[in-house]
Amino acid sequence: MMRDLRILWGLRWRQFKDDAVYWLRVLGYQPGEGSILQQLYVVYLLGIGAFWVFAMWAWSFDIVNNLGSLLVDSTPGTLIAMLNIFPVLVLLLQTYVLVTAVRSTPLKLSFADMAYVAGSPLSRSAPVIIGFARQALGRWLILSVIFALFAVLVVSPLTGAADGTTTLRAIAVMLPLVVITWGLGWLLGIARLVNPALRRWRYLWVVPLLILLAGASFVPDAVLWPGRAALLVIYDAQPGWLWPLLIGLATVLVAALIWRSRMVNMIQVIDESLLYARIQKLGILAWRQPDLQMRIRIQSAQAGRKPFLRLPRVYGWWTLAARAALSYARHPFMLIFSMVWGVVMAQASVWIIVGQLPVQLWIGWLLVVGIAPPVGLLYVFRIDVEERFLRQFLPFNGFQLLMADIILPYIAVVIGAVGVWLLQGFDPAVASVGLMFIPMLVLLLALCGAHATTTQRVLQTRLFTTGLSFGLPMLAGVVTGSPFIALIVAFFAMTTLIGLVIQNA
Amino acid sequence: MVEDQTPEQDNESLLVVDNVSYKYGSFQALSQVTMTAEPGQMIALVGRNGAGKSTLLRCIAGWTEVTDGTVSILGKSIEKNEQFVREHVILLPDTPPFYDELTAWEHMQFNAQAHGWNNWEDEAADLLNRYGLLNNRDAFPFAFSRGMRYKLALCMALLVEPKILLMDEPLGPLDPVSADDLWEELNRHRNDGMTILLSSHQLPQEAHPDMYLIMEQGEIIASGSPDTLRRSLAIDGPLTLDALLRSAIRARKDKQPHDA
Repeated sequence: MMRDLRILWGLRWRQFKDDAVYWLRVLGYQPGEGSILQQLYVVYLLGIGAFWVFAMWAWSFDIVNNLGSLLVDSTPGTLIAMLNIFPVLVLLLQTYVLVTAVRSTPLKLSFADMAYVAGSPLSRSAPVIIGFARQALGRWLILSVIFALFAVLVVSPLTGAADGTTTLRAIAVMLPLVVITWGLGWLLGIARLVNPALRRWRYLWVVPLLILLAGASFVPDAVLWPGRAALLVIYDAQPGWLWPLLIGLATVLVAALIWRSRMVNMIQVIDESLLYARIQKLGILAWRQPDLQMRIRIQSAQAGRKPFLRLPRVYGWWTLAARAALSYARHPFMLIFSMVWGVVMAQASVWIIVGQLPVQLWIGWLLVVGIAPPVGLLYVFRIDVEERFLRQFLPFNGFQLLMADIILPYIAVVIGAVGVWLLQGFDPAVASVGLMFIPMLVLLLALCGAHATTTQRVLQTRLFTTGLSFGLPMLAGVVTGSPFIALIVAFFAMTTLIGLVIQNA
Repeated sequence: MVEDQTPEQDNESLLVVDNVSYKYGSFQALSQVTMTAEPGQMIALVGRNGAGKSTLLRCIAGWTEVTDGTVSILGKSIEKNEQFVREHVILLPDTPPFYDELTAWEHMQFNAQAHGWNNWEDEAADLLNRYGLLNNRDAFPFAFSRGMRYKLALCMALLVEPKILLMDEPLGPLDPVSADDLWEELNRHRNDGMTILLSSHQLPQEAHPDMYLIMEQGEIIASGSPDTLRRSLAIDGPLTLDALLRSAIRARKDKQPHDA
């Protein structure tokens, strides 16, 4: 067993080094030369990277510390709400981890692993242990940074300013919590792979969902304790038995996982890893083109299903709209994402307006809108325009296509944003300004994305046009103090973008 | 060029490619290509990998903007008449994409209804049946094999009945029986007046294009009817694509020192 672990660890280490060299090559490193200059260049790149990470961390730490101080001065209720909601968020994350581990094998194999690891005489525990360790380590790194920033945010209001020990405590407590959460997930997932009876039960994943969510309602102390334990640790108020309990629980789960993993059915693992392997094979494309990754996921989900609903008998432009509606009906999560996006961005803007927060936050808001618009809004339009083979069958101009393709997600975003706006209880004058602007801004957002889709540099164009078409009306509104002037500027931006979409799509 | 049998350029021609050049960065993919096509003509583009066949087809379909020169359909420049081009020209790439959410039948339905046609079902069913796809009509094309996907794309194109059908490597993904069926089908459409321009490394024996365009390094090095090319390139044996290509390249090499 130890020999197998060493072999597999060696393989993973080589893969990690190859990946690292690949990324360094992107930055100009030439490993083939083997010169001292190239080695120095790697050291230089690593130094720059480390400095950047440190600088970003220091900047984030400072920002969060200042925001934390504001919480006490202006809205102490917000701090209490955040502390109350944190254990629930931890529970939701744990539920997600358990459900995904039970739905499909937690041990994922690439195509190379299928051939050289699953097909080898290595102990079956070895890939499970290495896979679990890699995943837990990766999740710990990400979650500990997020939780450390959260700790600074909620500790600084009570202590004046959080120091390094707060972040160290946050990072430390996250380790056993991650091992417990992912350990339990992997143990359940592996149990399903070991036991054919469990595997046949299609809706097994609903069980952890129901247990945890019902537990949160009826016996909250039994399921919300991990989040509460983390809060106690960052405030340095934990009872003496908490650390031994966390470490003991994590150890027991890992031991149980190692024991059960000896009986894993590798054929089943391969079968359930195909989607992962396809995406992993994309390499850098999976990151550069998230749409491609999403399409592979959609195809995989759809492959085993019968078509839901039928394309209705309507003609001309209406068949475009019907096809878009059918696409969204077959993938309703696109609409849900769109609505959630509308809710989140509207709520963020309400916070900025009501709290009269600095203009930098508006710029940040605008950047988020430009970089990460709702993914569902242009889902159908993008395929229509980007796939030239399909485009040639559509006797419509780009604007006609856009209008037909975005109706449903447009409505979803607008409903989400308007709903949040109306729930604030603003006086009628302020509420009506929101009702005027939100539909127009969402349309502008769609037009910016549509125009960017027709160009070579999609992200840059989207950022530029979004910045310009949102920023100019905002500026006009602030300078003149009249929302109508802002509306006119927005209308002008809209007509310009419509012209560009008609010309290019 | 060995012997250019391309008809005189005529604004009334269905397709006119006039001195078209195209560059990928610094690579000259097409260099001053000139050709015309008339209704009911079948033209085979022949050339080695990277000769510029696919690029030429993409330029004609308007998928790629030419660096220099013009392409016109029925006297209208494709640059300024994109919608007009979409109505008359269909290009079938060797690996056609499809909508992830629509079944094979819904692809046919969507195209027909988008064009506003009412009685399209019989024709669509007939096409799918001819290419062995009728039993898979309710399946999603992404689950099809490469050959089946190509056949579905072909069915979509034939349903629309464009004036000009451009096909990039049509025989690559098809099995021998389907390839024979395809030629039968293409001949029928040619007789009905459809112009077919295809690039290929292989043609069935019963395929008789009206004209060959032989390309090398982005240029048309020989063109003409089979008989003309047989004479001008001095081909004694059967007129295979291999013989055509080798003879044209040899003739070009022979000619180059004289040019110099």
